[in-house]
Amino acid sequence: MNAFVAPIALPNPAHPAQARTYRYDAVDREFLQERIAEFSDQIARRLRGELTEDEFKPLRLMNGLYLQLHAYMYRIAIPYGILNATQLRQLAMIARRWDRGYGHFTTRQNIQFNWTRLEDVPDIMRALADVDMHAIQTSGNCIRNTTTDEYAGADPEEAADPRIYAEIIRQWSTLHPEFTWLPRKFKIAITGAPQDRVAMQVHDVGLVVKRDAAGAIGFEIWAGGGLGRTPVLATKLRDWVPEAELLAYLEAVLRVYNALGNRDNIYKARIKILVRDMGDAFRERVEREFARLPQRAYRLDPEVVAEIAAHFAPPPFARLADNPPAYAAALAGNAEFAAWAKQSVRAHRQPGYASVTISLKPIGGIPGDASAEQMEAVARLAERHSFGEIRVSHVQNLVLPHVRQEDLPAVWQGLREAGLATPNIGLVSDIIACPGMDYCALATARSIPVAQMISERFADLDRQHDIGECFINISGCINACGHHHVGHIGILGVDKRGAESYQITLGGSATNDAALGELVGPGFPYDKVTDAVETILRTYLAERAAGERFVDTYRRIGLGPFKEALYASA
Amino acid sequence: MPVLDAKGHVVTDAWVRIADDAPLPDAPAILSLARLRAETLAGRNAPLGLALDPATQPEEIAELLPRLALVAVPLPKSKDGRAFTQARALREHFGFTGEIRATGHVLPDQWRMLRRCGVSTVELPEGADAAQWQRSRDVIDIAYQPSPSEMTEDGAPPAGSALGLRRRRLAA
Amino acid sequence: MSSPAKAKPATAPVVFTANRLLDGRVVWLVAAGQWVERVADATVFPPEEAAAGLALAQEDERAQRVVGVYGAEVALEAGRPVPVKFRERLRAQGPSVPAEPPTYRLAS
Repeated sequence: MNAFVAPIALPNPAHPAQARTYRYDAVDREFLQERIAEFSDQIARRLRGELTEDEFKPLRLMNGLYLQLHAYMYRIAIPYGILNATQLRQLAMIARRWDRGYGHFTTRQNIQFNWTRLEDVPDIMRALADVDMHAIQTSGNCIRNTTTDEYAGADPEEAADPRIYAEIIRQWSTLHPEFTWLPRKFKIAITGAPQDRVAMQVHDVGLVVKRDAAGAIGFEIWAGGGLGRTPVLATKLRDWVPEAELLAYLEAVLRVYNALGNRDNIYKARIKILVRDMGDAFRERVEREFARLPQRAYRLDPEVVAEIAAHFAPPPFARLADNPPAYAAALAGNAEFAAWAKQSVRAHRQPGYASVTISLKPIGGIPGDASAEQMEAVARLAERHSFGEIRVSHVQNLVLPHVRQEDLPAVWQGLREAGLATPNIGLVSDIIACPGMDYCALATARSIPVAQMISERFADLDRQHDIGECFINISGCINACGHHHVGHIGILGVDKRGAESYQITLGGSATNDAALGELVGPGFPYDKVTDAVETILRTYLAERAAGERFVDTYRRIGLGPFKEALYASA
Repeated sequence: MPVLDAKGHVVTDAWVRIADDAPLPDAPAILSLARLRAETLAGRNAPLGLALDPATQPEEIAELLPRLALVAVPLPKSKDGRAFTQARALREHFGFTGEIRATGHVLPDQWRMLRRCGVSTVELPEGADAAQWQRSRDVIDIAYQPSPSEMTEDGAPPAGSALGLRRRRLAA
Repeated sequence: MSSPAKAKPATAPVVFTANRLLDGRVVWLVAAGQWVERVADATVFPPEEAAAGLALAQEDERAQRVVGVYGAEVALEAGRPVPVKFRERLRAQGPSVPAEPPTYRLAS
């Protein structure tokens, strides 16, 4: 094993040739096999009693394995939310063979299976490794999957490609010798577009990759954002860190956090508390650490960047014109298609192409869930129409990034046949929800059935269109995996004297105008929360001025009218 | 307590841990920071070691380092990873070349990473299985990051260990 | 995972629950080394015997059979134990939403 192996890039014939995922070479594959051997040994030691549960737990978490309410849950990494069709098919196979035929896409752009058996994990890991996938660092107090824009490389407004740096950060953070036993989990998000689709300001570190006047790449660096018990928006540390210094700067941030982060109280252990408590001293400390690092050793060489960037070169686009006749005719001739296209089809940087968002929010469904058959249907459509590439968005939908506009009717038909053509992207039934008490050991209330009830209540699409853009986010406990603080309407389920109670916040946002929602008043019982949401939306419809989205009206009129409508009769 | 040396062998400990109120022997002795600061060390020839508190920043002891042959970095619980940063800072910022010893609740699974942060030895619980420690260390021999122990001026992997990108093959 | 039954003396009858180490499934204590998947078949410990029951359950935790042992208060319905707390009922019954591949209706 220690013999020198030359790093030769092996084309894997099983992978779609044109999908722009990072392609493993022999070294990456060997590393994965070693990691499988390591975790298999750890499982064996646990079963023999050589590791206690307390010792084993952080090890299994760093390999993506939770113990939840009903079973183990296995969270598989989808690095920065990019998959190729072969990988998605393999996830479908795993769902069928070792789980219950479905998976759940998460707000961290990963996928999790709810019914994993500990003894099956080594086999699942090998099946994942067959398609260059793993579950490394999808949990635990380490650097988690870096998330990015689901339209990266397709967005017409993108300033710089975040995928390159997300992959560099993935490699840098993989089994980082110093930052694997942090005070708490550590989440990094990176965007390269003017429109923030990664909720950059609610991450432990948020990065904006941009270009200066001369075209050189640099990063805006934010730190200390997060949701959970103490929601905080991130603080900007630097306006500009040159590309070559990115890893050194991240080392400095992590080193200060690892040395000074709270180790005594789990609720005060995230970097957001340290940043908040230290104020300017945090930035000064990071700068001091950065200044004394051996810069050359941590330098990100342009050759390395170029080598990684080659993996994300544009796929072989055809030279096409926008709005081809086939697309225009379908829009004009098929109202159902047109309604879907209005919500799901997004402009692309390449003329004649579009990005398609696939709703995993069917009316009455479980947000983010997909069956093995649906995964296979999406893989098939990706192969035919999107260079074999699929993205996972942080709002728990899928994206076909590069679809020819003339193919849109066929893609829609294919999605429709798989139950994946719900035309509700960005509307009230496009709900983010955590698994809640139906699956999660930490939850204090259910989330999924609340999402289902709301989505059923607003099933009428005309009504959804009338309401327009409105993001409802639901968490089943204070840990806020359902991002309730940054939903236009946020719902938090808590336990109130043994019964589920739902607190509602209004006016949150996870994008450029990031804001934390305000609590509207006392909580609502399980069977009243849908009525409350309806009251809030009726109030909005009555109060809105022309062209205002829900959140615009809220910002103009404040909590008062909503409070009044919700509690006046009480 | 037995000690795991850099080669992965269990050896008897040449050092003794001295309580703050115990007399200082003329033998390799590990002291607390308070004791070390209080002690008159002029004229002492036997090696000195310091048991760091997990919250102590290496810069607070920088002036003592020239006198020290050993610094012990503690993991009060295996989950508490401050020792990784302490060790790294000692090597990287302060050029400490003596022994860095990990103490406390250390798992075999942490040894490889501790080594890559500059730790040289581990204080083991009685009866620890050295073979398991070696297995856990060796099971992964590829790293995506540099380590102070191999840190060349320009961060390049040591000769013969480069694997492309920033990856390197770890020496056994 | 914790529960009041672990922290303070039980005032109601309790059953003991855990996850099986090997597959993670929810199980309920019957007797030393014996666990079942249905709460209805679990042994009910009166409050004064809760401590002894917990010790019995923890023995199996040490023997690598189960993980995360704790007690859950129950009421007796038709002579069978039913957990008092909503969370424990959910744990006993499984998710309140279908734990199977999503079905879908074609848009009309």
